[in-house]
Amino acid sequence: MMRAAISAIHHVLPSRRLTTAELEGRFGAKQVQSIASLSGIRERRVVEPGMTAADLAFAAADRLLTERGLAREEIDLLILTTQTGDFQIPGTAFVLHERLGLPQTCAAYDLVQGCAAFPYSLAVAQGMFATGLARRALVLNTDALSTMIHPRDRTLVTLHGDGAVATLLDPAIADEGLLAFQFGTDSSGWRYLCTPASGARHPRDEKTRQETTDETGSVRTAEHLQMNGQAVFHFAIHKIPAVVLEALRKFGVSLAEVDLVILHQANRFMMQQIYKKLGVPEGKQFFYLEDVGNLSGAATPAALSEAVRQGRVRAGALVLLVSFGVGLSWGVVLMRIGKGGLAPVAASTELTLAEMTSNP
Amino acid sequence: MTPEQKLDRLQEVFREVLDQPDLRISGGFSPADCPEWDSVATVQIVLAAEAAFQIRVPTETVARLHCVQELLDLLP
Repeated sequence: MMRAAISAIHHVLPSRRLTTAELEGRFGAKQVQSIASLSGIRERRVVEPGMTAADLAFAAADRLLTERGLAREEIDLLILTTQTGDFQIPGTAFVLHERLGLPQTCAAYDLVQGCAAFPYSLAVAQGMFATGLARRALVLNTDALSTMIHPRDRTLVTLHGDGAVATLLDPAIADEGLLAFQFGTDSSGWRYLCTPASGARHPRDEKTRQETTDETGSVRTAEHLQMNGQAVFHFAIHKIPAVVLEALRKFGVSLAEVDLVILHQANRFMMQQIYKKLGVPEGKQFFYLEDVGNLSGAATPAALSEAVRQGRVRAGALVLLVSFGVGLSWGVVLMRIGKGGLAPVAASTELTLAEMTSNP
Repeated sequence: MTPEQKLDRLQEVFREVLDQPDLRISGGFSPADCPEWDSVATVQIVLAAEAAFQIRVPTETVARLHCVQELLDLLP
């Protein structure tokens, strides 16, 4: 069975920085510090008006393809995941297929997931490699949740940032590439991360635009993302270590053999608790949220991309990547980096409004 | 453990998490009685209570936790 391997990865963040000092002015220093002390997030990258998740994804993909000098005609699969697409119809993959100049022989579609989008999109791509339907794939994971969060929702504003990651997949050689996956869902918690008036169930009207203020002073409407943070946090700390241990057992791999364990970058304290429960030593941990925030579906691939940039992913390394959140759902992927290593893409990881091109 | 001992032990948890050594709690004690008891503190309180009493609080309880009595009801 043909498997896929990551041959290049690049992430892009909006240049706009939302600092903790700015948020202290909005919410009060004590309240912001209370959350920051646990989350470890000091700064977030958020899109400006006029910039969307698709723009970030375009920049990430365009820079990767341009720098590597890859012929766009050779890409035969484009999978895009986002919760903040440009349109309800059509999917954002079609928009980016045109903007990137991909050929008509390239399949393109959106995959609706959430924080666990990266393992899911890799697994779907791998399936198309295995069935001979793809030989070079572009996976784009992008989210701009800041556009769905009420600016006075203290909990969500302080945690989330926006970002996109482009991952290029090519056929794996020998024992390299995407080795194993594990997925799961606890749908009893889907309400814990939900935008109530965002689809057919609750059409938007005057009522869904009415603001409500909770007991902590956070403001939102039914059209904004809502999160029961304490429930999601509790789920993650208790469920994810068990999921990882089960995945390793299924994969026939011990933690000692894994070189790097990358978790969903939601919250530093949460990640530390999970690492501690699993017994992951510091040298195998990786954090990429302090200066960018939780990037939702782009969080884990962005962490992998940043780890590559920092030289933390050596040639031949065994990397375990664990994503979880919206759904509530989780995905685990085990991958072996090629013997030639994974060279970082040198292009910038920032996108300014002035740099945006070919906006439809 | 008697109900009083459970409340005393849980009170220690609240005092430590909320950093209020003289705090006194009752079954009806809620975030409305203590501005420091926010969603972040709720997570810390639940995790500390789980460790102190060797219990697992259901996530659905954590999702709507709004008074001490809901935790007391779960203690063995």
